[in-house]
Amino acid sequence: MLILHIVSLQPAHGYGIAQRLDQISRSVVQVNQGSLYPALHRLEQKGWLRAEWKQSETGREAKFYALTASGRKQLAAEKDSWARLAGAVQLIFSEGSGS
Amino acid sequence: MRQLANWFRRKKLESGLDRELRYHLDRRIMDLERAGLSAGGARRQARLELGGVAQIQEDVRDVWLARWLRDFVYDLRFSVRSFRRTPAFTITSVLSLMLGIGATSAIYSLVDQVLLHALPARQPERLVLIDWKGDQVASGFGSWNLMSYPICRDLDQQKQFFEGVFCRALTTINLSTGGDSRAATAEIVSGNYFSVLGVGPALGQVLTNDDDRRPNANPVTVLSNDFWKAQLGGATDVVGRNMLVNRHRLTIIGVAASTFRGIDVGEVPSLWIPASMSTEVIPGFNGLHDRRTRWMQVLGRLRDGMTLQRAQAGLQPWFKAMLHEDMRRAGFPVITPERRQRFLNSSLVLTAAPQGHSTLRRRLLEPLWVLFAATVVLLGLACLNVSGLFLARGSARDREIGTRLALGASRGRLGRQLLATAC
Repeated sequence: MLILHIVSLQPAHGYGIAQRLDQISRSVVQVNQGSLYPALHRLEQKGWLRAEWKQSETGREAKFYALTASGRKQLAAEKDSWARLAGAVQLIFSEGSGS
Repeated sequence: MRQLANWFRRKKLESGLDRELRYHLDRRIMDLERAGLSAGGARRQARLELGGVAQIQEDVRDVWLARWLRDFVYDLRFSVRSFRRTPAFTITSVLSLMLGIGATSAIYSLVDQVLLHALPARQPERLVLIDWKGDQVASGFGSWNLMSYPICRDLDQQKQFFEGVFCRALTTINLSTGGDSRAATAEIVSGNYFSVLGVGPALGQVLTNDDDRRPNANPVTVLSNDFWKAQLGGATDVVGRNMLVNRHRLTIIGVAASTFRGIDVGEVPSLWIPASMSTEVIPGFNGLHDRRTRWMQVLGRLRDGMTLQRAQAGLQPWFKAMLHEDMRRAGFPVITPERRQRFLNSSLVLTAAPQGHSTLRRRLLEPLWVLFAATVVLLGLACLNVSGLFLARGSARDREIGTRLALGASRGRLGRQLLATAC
């Protein structure tokens, strides 16, 4: 879900995604860089990501991943279910402290 | 599907992944150097962060093509290579399997055709062969299960047991369509033959009871589909044409349905002729209405819900009465008291005949099953042979398998490799 979200902001290459994950979560979420690539390929296989080779900011060719339409749908669904889960957990905690 | 497609473009995928990972490493090294690390330190740090490149590659390959499928493909390639290395072994096993499987399927198709194939008729399981057990006090010609035409007509009247009873006799006729003449097989049948079997025409119409009422008054014939296609080129205008059968003119009124090849597996008739024409088409024959001339096989279709046993038991009273009546008829031959006793003790026997009547089947029933059993044994021997060969090869691979185990291959994985070799 995190990968999908990052890519939804703008197309990015593997290294860029790793950096962004690090930055955004302020190093709270430690994604093992090694497991990033299998995940990316799995998402591409499922048709949620589309990849193409483009010039990167350093001038070298890099593989850029972009979100597809079905990827967008999947992201929305996952955000939704995450929000519901988080809300439920929140509710339980506030109930517990209230009583 | 997509995964299988990946297998065929794996070279492209591999090089892409290589480039992707190399780009990642280079960028990371660049960034670390910019942060102040030495060139060597940056490289080490970047590699550490990424983890083993080979491991990542393996993980990504699992995404491309499921692990077990990939292993299976590798195993298959391994087997093909090892078969290529030992051509003698391969040829021996392929040959023995080929012989076993080929012989079995050939004999099985014969068994299927002759013994197991039901007639392409309506509800073939309700067809029965009616046979006279005892002395018929009759003269006859032909092969098996014969009765006279009038008795067949009498049986057809037993409507509480049968939907209908028909009779048929195979004969060889001299046939000429145009100039040349040749021998052909014809089936002389009662008029209800097609309606009781439930076989329709492919062209024109089939014989009906009306074609079998008055002797010598119905010079018509129905062609078999095979004959029509092979000898007349499947011409659509054959209905109404004339043919000479033993120099008597018969008019073609139709062609039977293509699936129907007569009720005798061994002999496919070229045409069907109503029994009323028998005197014309069988030279010297004049026994159509003689109760003591047996020459036709009698088959019937049981009524819906009637069982074979009930029909057989129910027929006997009528049959006994008929025997007594026959004996009082004018023209019944003078016979000895013993023979008369045998005649009066006769009974009717019904046998299920979903596959029709076949002298070939009767003759071949046992030999065919024996032959079939023999080929099955042959197939078993071939399998045994091949498994023996594999066993021998397996023990020769003892050391290799030991090495593989020592290198950390799991037993399951090795078993799968051996299985892949077997398929």
